[in-house]
Order: sequence, then structure tokens, then C-alpha cells
Amino acid sequence: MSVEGTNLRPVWMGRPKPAVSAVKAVAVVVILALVAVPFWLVFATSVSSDAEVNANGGWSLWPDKLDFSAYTNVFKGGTIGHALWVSVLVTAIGTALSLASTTFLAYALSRPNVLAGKPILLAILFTFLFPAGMIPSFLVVTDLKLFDHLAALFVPAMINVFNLVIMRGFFQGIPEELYEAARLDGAGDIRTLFRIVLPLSKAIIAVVGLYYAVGYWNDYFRAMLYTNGGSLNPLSTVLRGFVIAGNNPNAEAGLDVTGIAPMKAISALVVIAIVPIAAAFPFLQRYFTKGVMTGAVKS
Amino acid sequence: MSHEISRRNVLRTTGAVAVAAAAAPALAACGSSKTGGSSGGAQSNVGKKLVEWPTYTPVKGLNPDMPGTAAGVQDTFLQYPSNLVQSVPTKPGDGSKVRALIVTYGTQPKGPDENKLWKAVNDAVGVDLELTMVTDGDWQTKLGAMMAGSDLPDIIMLGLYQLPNEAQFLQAKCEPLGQYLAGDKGAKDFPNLAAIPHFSWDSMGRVGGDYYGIPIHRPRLGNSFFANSDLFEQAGIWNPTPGGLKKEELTAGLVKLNTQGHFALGTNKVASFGYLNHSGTHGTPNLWSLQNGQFTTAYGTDGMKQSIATMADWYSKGLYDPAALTVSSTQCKTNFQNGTYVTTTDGFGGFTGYANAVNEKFKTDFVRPFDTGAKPTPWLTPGYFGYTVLKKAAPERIKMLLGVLNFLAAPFGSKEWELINYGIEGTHFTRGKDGGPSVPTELGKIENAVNVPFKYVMAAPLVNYIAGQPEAAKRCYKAQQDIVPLGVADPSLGIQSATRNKQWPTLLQQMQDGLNQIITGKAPLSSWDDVIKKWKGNGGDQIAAELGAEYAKTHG
Repeated sequence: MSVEGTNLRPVWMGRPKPAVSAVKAVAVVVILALVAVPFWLVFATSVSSDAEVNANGGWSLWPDKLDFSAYTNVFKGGTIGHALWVSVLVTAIGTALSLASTTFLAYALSRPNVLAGKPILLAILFTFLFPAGMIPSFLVVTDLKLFDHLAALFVPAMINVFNLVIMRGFFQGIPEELYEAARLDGAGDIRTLFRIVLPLSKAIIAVVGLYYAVGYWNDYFRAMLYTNGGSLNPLSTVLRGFVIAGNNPNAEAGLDVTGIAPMKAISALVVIAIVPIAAAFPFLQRYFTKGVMTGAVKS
Repeated sequence: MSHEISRRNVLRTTGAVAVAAAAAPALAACGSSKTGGSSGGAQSNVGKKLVEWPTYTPVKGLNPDMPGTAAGVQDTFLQYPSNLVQSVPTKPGDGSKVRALIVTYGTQPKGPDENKLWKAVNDAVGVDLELTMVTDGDWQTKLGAMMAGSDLPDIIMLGLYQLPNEAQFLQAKCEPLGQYLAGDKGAKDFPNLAAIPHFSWDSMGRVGGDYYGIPIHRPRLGNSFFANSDLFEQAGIWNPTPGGLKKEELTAGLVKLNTQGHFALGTNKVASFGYLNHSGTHGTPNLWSLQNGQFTTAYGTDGMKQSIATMADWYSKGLYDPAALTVSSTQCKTNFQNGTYVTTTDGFGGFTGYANAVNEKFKTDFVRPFDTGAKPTPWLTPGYFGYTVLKKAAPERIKMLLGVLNFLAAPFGSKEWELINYGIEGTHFTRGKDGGPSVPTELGKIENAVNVPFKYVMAAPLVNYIAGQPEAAKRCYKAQQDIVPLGVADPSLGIQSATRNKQWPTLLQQMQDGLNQIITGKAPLSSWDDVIKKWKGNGGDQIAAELGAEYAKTHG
């Protein structure tokens, strides 16, 4: 180990050649730029003046003058604020319910000797490989009287098989001895779950929770299909409507309704849609690396 | 993470398509006991008495500055009418709730409780109109699902895209309207619906001899070739006589106008280099044409090949933006307005937007069909945007709903039209110089006919009036006078073809992909024949045969 502390290179490794370092640095910068520039472009466009956005053909890489009119205009309509609220609500309720139901089911299916455990697991996996499709799902949702209710935005997607399988795998990875010890101490299945399994599974819960949250946050499809829109539209559905409206040959004239350049308004909406979910990311990051490794190595 | 999500969506979407296709026969079964062969027997108009359209009765008392023609030139108003008429004397509604499913191109508005425009229209019509607004991109998916479900809205707008088994759906679930609207009686009961020109009704067509919808009118000029005509004049290529300018002269002029940072020809990723316009100029008949009872597409004609050659030549000279296949239509509009593109092709309706955005900084005008050696045949539109159908209901309710539609079709120059399209004076708009409701208030920028589009429930025939831009309106009128008489209609509209209903989007994409390859020089012009051959084999021939059979049955 290095004495200086800043030098993390192992002793057996020679000094890298300057040329190699330079190439690596360039590669890192290019790759970073590929990720960062689109974000920047969207943000810069959203805070540029109308004239500048129009003159550049709908984009702006570096705003001459900061102009937040797109944000004020977008919120002035009143529907974006509401849609943001719907998104937050759906994401919060949906993620909580999804996590609870997925955890219980995954726990049950991870334990040996559960009554009909195998057939149930196979039935669930079957829906993963052969999804029912849109129209049957639509008919189920309407027959359950969920059509045009907030619940239609999360109930049909409550358990995601992929997440269930990840979680089940994680639970199976917990040493059998721990279960045994809990049982010897008199813990039942429920107590074992809450006292032993869940405290050991923070990483997977954080990761699966993030998967669910991002899924709910980004989903525009359910609101489009299962509701009459209006006050039930989440931000993603509104954003999609806005983005695709200008990209269709059938679109009729007069799209510039908010009085701002369309790209600018779209960019502002994109920023509004990205920020909340991106803000949650750093808090979960420490679990994230650990969580995604789950299931990577089967012992 | 994103992998998982996108895979799920992809599965869901492909599943949806498959299921929609699979669900279709079931629906068909509701409509008719036997759907023999390609075109359904119950849907055919053969041997059935054709129910009359409402007798065409133009609205009286409106005096356009430049009157339109029956062929489809629009009534033109240079000024907003100073005395607005009351079109519908009594409130048609009965206070009940009416659900309507329509398309939208706007942003989501607040509901009627918090929306003054929506509330005012509801109050004036006398119903609690609940609009479900679906974006264009989701329209087919949403309609497919709704049609499979049992709980249909009262009013549905159809026709934007052909849906699988649309005709069967109409017969199974929708009210035949002939009994209410036909002939003089219909014209008397619902005068505003009778003011919709017959070409719009013809294009909508009948199903099983009767009709189930009311068309939403659109002008007959379709995809148009717009230019900054000031620059065209400078380059010596402005000639407002159809056929007055030779193709070579036009090309030479365009090369002159193709300067650093400016492209002579604007286009976007869905326009495929503007072929919809240019092929008509090269004398192709409309998308489908009829000769001796046989349907053929314009794709296989010599004119089409020549127009592709012309566009490929333009492309090779660098006249198109090299990004043509990735530019969105929004970007394309912006580029034309800011002068990056000297010309563009766009729907006829785009003209108003350009006239307003450019505001006479330069003259926007329609490039007339140029001389390619062939007789130009600009493609006319069906003359309708979509059509509105009513869910089956008791006669009293249907009459009430037709009354609501009649109200929403109140003509330009009526108080109702102004309310539906612009809202309340002082609240949503103030009057511009010509007395028109052209200056939106802050609220009017949000609550307007784009975001609360009653116009897609039903609307009056469109007139040519561009608020505060009388010069542009005159140019638009002149262009219509020049181009409409040359135009050819598509004889296949209103005729059912099961294959077209199902496969058209795929076939169109295939065709445009082939087109783009040749124009951008990635494939030789000779490969067009293979594209056509493949296209025909994949369904093109089948559509032609079905159209021919159905046509023979109706007209034979």
C-alpha cells in the first residue's frame, strides 16, 4: 500500500505513459460529454430567450441571457403543477404498495416448502414471458371498475416479475443458518421477515424501490389508456402529449399556443420531469452498487 | 433499469398490436353474420338504397369578400365580420352529461370547473360536455382499446387514421344518422350540419347504404409547397401561373438561393422530401386512381419516378438540408420562419401559422405547380379532417346530441363560432384592428381552441380568414383559385378495403423508406421498381383488388 495516501497505484504497477494517460483522459471526457451534453442542451434551451431558440433552429447551447419565462409560462396553465402532483402521488403510493406486495410475495416464494410455491412461481413467470397484451389488460381494468380512477395508474403494475425475481434471489442468498437461529429463538415467519430478513435487505429494497419509482414516474401509457385524461394525467403523459404534438404530419397549425417557442417549452417540461427523480438518486446510490450486484454471482 | 422498462414497453406495444389484430374478427362478427372475402357484405353499399346526405344549404347572411367555389376554394374574409349573427336560436342541450372522445394537439387544459372557456361553452350548449382528449400519437391505441371495451362515450371522433374494422364497429355500436339528417328535412332540422359541403360527406362515405358520421370539414388543397416569394422574385423564379416556370429554371433559381447557412428546400423526417406535393406536380394522379374499374396507386406511375428523380437531383445538388431525415416538423416550421429554409412543404393549414409568424417580414406564398412536361395534378385532400359518430341511443337523445353538434358547427361570423373558437371578450381575447378576436389575453393563451378543442367534436366549414393578415389571405385565395381546379381527388376514399384498414401504416412506411433511400442517393432510381414490386406483394395489389371489387359493387 502506498505511504503517500494519494497514490493509489499498487507498487507492482509502473507509471503510466503520459500518452496513455492523455488518451484515457480524452476518452473519459468524450464519454462524459456524450452523457452530459444532451442534459445541458435541454437545460440551456429551456432558459434561453425565444429569439435565440428560434434563430438556432430550436436549440441553444449557451444562453446569451437567462430567461425563465418557459418555466413561469408552463406553470401558469395550472395543469403542469397538478400533473406534477399526480406524478408524485402515483409514484409514492405505487412504490410503497409495490414494495410491500413484492417483498411479501418474494419472501414467501423464497422459502422452501411453501404450499404450491413452485406452481405459483411458474404462473408468475409465465406472465413475464407471455404478457397479456393491451386490450385484455384494458378489459380487466375496466371490468374491475378502475377505469378513470387514480388506482388504475398503479394497481395494474403493482408487482413486476423482474423485480420479484431479483428480490427472491436476494432472500435466498441469506444464509439458511440465520433462518434456523430465528426459528430456534421462537420467531414465526412474519417475525423472521421483519426482524431478520428485511434489516439485511436494505440494499435490495432500495434498488427495487428505485426501479419501481422510476417506472411509475416515467409511465405515460397507463394514464393515456386507463383514464379519460384531464385531472388524472401525470406529468409524463402531459409531457409526451406536448412533445409529440409537434412531430406529426397530421398536426394542425397553431401549435405555438403558450406564446413560447415549442422546443423551449418542451425543454422546460423535460427539466421539470427529470429533476425530482434525479434528485432521489444520490441518496440511494450507496445501496445501488451493492444492489445491482445481487444475483450476479450465484453461489 | 432502463433496459427492463423499455423491454416491458416494447412487449406491451407489440402485444397490443397483435391483440388488436386478433380482436378484429370478433368485432367483425358483431357487425355482420358473414363477412365474405375482402370487403364485408354487410358493410357494402351494393344493392342498397343509398341514404341521402343532408341537402347542401350554405349559410345565408354571411358575405365573404371573396366567395368560394363548390369545387373547394374557401370563402375568404379579409376583415372580421362586424355584425355577428346568432346562429342557433335555442339552447340544444338538456343539461345531461355528454362524454366525447376526441383528438388533441394542444396541452392538457384544466377541467370545466376551473376553465372559463369550457364552462362558457357548456353553459351555452346546455350540456355538461366531458372531453377525453387523446394526442395524435396515442389515438390509434386508445381508440382500439375503447372500441373493445363496453363503455363507449356518447360522441367519438373517428377518421383520423383508419382503424381495423372501423365499418364493422360503426354498424355494431353506432347510430345510423340518415334517419335524422337526410335530405331537406335534415337540412331544416340541423342547418349548420347541412352547410358542410358534400365533398366532405362523400369522402367520409356510407356503410351498408347508410351513414354513421358527420364530417369535420377541411379545405381541399393538401400538401403545399410554400416559399419565401420575395426571395423567389429576387432569383427570378417567382411565377404565379401554374406551369409557367420550367423545372430547370426552378432548379437553377433554387441553386442561387442555396447560400451559406440557408437551404433552398426545407423538409422534415415525416415529409420524405415533400413527395406528396412534388409527385402531383409531375402529373401523378392522387394516391389512388381509377381507370376502367381498376384501382392503381400513384407509386407505380412514371410521374412518380420522375418526381423521385427530380428530388434526388435536388438532393445531390445540396438543396435540401442534409439533416432532412431527422428534422422534426416543428423544427422545420421554425427553420422556414427564420429564413434557414427558403421553402418548405407542409399541410395547407400550415399557411396561417407561417403568415402569422412571418407577419409580412417576407411574403409567404404557394409555389405553383411548375412545368415538368406533364400536366400537373395536385393531390386534393378528402376535404375532411375526421368524422364524428354517436353511440347508439334513444332517438330523443340522438336528436339532442345532433343539436349539440349543430351548435358546435355554427358558422364563421356567428356569436357561437366566436365563443367556441376564442372564448369570451375581455376574458379570453380583446379585439384586434379589424375587429376580430385576435388578441388573446393571458388566460386566452391557455384557454383556447387548441387546448380545449371543441372543433374536433364538430366544426363549421373552415373559411380563409387570417386575423390581421388580409394580404396573406388574398394570396391564399389566389393560390386556391389557381391550384384547386387542377387538383385530382382520391376515388378510393369512402371505399372500404380490409387490407388497407389493417396494413396501411406499414405499407406507407415501406414506401417512404424506399423513397428516402433513392433520394439520398443510397439506392439507384432503378431500385424503385423493386420497392413497388415488394409493396404490391405485401398488400398493395390486395388493396387495389378490394377497392375495385367494392367500387364495382357500389357503382357497377
